[in-house]
Amino acid sequence: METINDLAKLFYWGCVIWPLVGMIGIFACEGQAARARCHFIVSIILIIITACSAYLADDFFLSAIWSSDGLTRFLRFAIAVGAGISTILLRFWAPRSLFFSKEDKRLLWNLMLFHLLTAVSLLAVGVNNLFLSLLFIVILAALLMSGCIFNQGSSSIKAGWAYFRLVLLFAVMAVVAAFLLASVPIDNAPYLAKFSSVLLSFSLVLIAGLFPMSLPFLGMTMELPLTLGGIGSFILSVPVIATFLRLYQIPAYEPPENLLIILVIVSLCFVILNEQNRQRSSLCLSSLFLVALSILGGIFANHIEGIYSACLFIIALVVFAPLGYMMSQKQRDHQEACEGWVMFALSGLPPIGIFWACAVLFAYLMQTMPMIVVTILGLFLIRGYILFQKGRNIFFLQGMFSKEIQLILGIIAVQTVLLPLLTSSWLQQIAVEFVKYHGGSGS
Amino acid sequence: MWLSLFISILLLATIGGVSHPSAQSFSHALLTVFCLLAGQANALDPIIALSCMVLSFLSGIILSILLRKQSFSRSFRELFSGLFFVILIVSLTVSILPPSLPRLEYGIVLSIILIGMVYSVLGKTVGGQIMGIACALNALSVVVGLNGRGMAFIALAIFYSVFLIMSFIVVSRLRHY
Repeated sequence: METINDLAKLFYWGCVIWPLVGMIGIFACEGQAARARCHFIVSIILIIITACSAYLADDFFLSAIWSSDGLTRFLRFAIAVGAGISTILLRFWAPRSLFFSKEDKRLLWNLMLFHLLTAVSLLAVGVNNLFLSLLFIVILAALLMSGCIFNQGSSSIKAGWAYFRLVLLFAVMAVVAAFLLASVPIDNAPYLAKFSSVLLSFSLVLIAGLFPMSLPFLGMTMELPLTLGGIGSFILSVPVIATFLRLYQIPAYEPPENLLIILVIVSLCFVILNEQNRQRSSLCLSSLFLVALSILGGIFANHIEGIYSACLFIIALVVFAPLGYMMSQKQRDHQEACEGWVMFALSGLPPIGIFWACAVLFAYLMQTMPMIVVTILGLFLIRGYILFQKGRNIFFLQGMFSKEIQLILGIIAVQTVLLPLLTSSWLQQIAVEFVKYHGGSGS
Repeated sequence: MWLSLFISILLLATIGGVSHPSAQSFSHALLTVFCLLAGQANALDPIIALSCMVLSFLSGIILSILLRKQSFSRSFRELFSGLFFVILIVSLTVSILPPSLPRLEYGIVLSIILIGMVYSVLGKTVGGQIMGIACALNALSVVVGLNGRGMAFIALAIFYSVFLIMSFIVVSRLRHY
């Protein structure tokens, strides 16, 4: 038993240290081909370490700082698989343009940033304490801002700085709300728990990227730099949503369901309204769309279906981060065809992409709040109509059977159909366990 | 009583703003230290209160060096929105918090954080934006210093350091923005 515990401890820290080792390795390698090879090897080993760590019962880490429950292990596994998939994309999808790219330095920074983001988000989803998880989220935002600075010009620095300021300030608001929630006796302050819960959930929703990008009067531009739009909005959202689920560990937390549902519907409307503007990136809007839906799952995290669908959405968020990065490079041969399939996968249409996660969520909502599910389904249909009417259906015409497109489709299918199918009993177990310990009424 | 007085002066400094960010950051940090000193007798953990004072004072000095070439002025719109949020948050907090807590202090601190947010978002110059965040972080250090526990202090310290590094990068990259 002692040996297994030590092994589990080793694997746990391996998950965090290995991406950093990869970063140093990539920096040390000479030339593009060697860097890509190093990235490939590091990511494959990361998947193996994380898979082993996820299957070992490492309960000894359950403490005030690090949690090691089923949810953490699952999220770590999902992030590692996402990182592995990005490696396959980088290695096999577009090797030629990668190796002969003139922007040698930019690729180096991007690969390093990706490893750093993976390491920080692996740490962030394992954090048991709200203050510390907010800290990791702020660090992720700072890393993304540095990515903008290293990669692009002054307009990107401005956008990255604006994004960082908003994340930091909402994290400060969330810390204050958590303080009120934790330090004040509830009995003689009936509205305090409600007020703090609203403040906390609202701040987290804003950090997750729904509103900083969607409120034009806040001065936030939609023309986000590639690093933020491609990797950032997908990767940063994963620890935020994990934190959102963890709120149920605070006994005084009362989820403000109605407010959050209104926020979700408003964000979906915003995505639809901006979809018609061709200058705004559909991919970035899709990440808002996904985040809105996973928060909808998170609202019902004290029910089995809620946590189930939130986890399924998080798997999708992780895989679309590398895809978003590849899409944002703007130099691939089959750019439009790939983008078409990615949009198709993000539209919620069966059978690939976010369809299963949506199906679980809607099946649950149909029993409890039929009006809301009808509204959201209506918004889905409107978005699908606008998305495919816009001329993005080019993927039905050309380049559909080329190697690259098949690889993209294969990766989306593996991550969003095969992985949920294989892990369904695990997910069910996580959901039951979570509801048992933190859930209200159960289902 | 001293605590309320100092926090109110802190609030006035936040809203009024001195047009030179270097002077404002220094005076703001100094006022935060006074607030913490006034409340230190009732602090949950005196060591954390002391550490928060050091943290706030150091950040004030670093910011005053960092922002010495910047300048900003508050527009009428910013001042008006700041005042509006003060009234909103103080009245909300006083009506929600139980009488056993120092409601006025909590309300003023919360409104400084909110004003900091608004100024940081609406600010047109880098100096104004940085000062907005600095106001919010100083107010947070009053909360953490007086009622803090270990984890919250670690989070605050990291918030400060990440913020200072990022402001240094932005000021050095975007001098004329």
